Amino acid sequence: MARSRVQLTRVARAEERAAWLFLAPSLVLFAIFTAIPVISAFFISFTQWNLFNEVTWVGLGNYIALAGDEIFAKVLGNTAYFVLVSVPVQIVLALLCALVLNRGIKGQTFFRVVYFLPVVTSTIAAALVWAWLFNSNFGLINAALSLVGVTDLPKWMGSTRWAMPAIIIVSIWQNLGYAMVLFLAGLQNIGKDVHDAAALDGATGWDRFWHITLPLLSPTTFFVLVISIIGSFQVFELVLVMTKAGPANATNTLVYYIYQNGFQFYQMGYASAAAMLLFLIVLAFTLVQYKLQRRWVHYG
Amino acid sequence: MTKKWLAYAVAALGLVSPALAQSTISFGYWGDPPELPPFEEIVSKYQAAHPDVKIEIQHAPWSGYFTRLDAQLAAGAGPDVFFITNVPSYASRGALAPLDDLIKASSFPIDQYVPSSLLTHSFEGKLYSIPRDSAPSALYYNSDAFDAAGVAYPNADWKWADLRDAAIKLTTTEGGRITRYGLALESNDWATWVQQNGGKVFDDPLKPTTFLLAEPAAVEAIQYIGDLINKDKVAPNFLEAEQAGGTAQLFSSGQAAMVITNPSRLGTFADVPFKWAVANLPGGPTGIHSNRTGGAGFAINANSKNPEAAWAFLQYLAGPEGQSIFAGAKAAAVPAMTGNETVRAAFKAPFGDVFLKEADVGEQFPQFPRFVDLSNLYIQPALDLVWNGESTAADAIGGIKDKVNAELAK
Repeated sequence: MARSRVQLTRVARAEERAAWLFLAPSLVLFAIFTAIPVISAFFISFTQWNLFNEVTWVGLGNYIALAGDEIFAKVLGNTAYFVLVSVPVQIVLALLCALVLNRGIKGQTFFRVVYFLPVVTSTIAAALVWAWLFNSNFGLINAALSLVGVTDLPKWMGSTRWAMPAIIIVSIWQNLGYAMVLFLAGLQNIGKDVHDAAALDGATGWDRFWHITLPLLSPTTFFVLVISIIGSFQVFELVLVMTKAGPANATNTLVYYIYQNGFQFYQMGYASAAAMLLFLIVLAFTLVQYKLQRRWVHYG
Repeated sequence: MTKKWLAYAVAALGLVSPALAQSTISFGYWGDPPELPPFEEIVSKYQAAHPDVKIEIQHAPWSGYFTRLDAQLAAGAGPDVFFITNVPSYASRGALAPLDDLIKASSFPIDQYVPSSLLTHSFEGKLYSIPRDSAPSALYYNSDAFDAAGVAYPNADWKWADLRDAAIKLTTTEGGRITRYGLALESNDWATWVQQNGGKVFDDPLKPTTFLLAEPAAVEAIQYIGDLINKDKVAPNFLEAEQAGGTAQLFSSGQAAMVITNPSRLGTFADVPFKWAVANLPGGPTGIHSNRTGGAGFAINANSKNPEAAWAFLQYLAGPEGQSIFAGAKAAAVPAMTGNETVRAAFKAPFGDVFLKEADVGEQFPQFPRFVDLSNLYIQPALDLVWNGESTAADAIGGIKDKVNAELAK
């Protein structure tokens, strides 16, 4: 068998060793903090374990219990609400900002920084400040709303109806900049010559947006879509700081529920089973998107 | 060169060798900076009296303490002696060493502790932690605000109606928005109100078989709080109070004229720019006085490698010596060892008599291993709907009654 292997030269072997050496730090960290925990979680999801007792094998018991758990059903609904609203709004807004900031307007560097700042701001700190802004009595948002004549002021995080929109607003605010920067990079990759040629042929600005910019930007859009969906399925810190899943579980999302079961109720098996379902859902969404991309993503 | 290294080695050995003769135990506790001096004093006094023992401190703020402790205990590690609340949850998982035999063997004066506190620190009839304090709530009020509004200060005869009346008079608004709430309440104190109205949350706070929060007396109490928030609009919704920095922040900044909270706030409010005082809680409509028996205690790790040294330290820490130091500290804890004259004498906190009187009517809050889940999954979400005014107490609690009872029957 060794004979059938290509004989590496001394230099090549040294290079191979060097490559492994360079990869080692990241591989070791990946193994310890990602691969091993993920594999353990898979096995834990078939057990009953509260961190202290003997681990008992319960087969599919946790999964069956999840299927009959009405709070888990609510949590899935909440998560779907969050993903379905925040992802499209965020992508459209990010694209709009990128288009405007790509036109060479005055102070565009300044605005790019302004939009990107929330991305590099600590989520916890930002969420705390937003919680203040949303305070229905002392907060600035309701003060502004009452100035423009709104009388029935929303109770925001205190109300089952407005708590999720409040979290969605903060989430969009925070992630907009990242998607915008990706779109900006994508826009700058579209050659000016294509636009010039189309303009010569008499295409209006609107036509060029639909038939040139959007199709040529589609690989970026696809990437932004995939990472936004994955990211929003994992919303956690905002919920933890702003509402703690309340009121009445109105903002309880998948990752928060996993955290609650694991670290408040000490049901590691149940939490792991929910985590496995989250993994399957995200995987399914991503696979579907890869299948669908052939229809709308154009790689120039 | 070689000589120099040799010298270093000898010096290092010299440093190490006395430590080898010592027994080391680790001690974990939480606390904000103003709460730490008594812990440090106890540790240094104990080490001075026992040169053969070295105590290794593992301090964390409240917010991160239990995350770390849980992880350590799960790994079979963790401090030998640690500060703890929610004892049944830990005892049921086998994380704590039972203390009864140790107490008997060393005739530790356990009968000098408040009985309901001992109950709080027990699980299935066995004691797992020695209570440090009972943290009864009391009514803190801004005297300046009372004077300005021409409202008489709270007194021992106050009932719910008087509290509500004062809260309404003390609430100020500007352009439809509240600039000062009459009253702020702690979100986790609601069971006190149920008790003051003659109701109960469960038939037995430690071994419940029936959920009683849907009974009229309890529902009425919950609705009373809900009405203060939503109908009279004189108290903030709990979630919003927390977002505004918590009840202590509301009181300190003059945004709440009264607050019902625990004794540790005596220190927090020491430097506020107005006059304030502390009064006993109002009685229920029929005059029932009731409070919570809360507080924290000290336990020994079930996996301690040095249980004898841990028990010796625990006796000092939670016994008369440690209790006196805690009771006499600036951020005083209302002692759980009220049967000991030295400890009682050391407790000189301002309004100490108010807190001791509240401790006397302390009752055990629900505390059993599954209470955390039942509360998070059913009771709290139902109460949320009362606190934010989206539902009446009767509907919200009525809606979860059967589910909670079904869970209790499991």
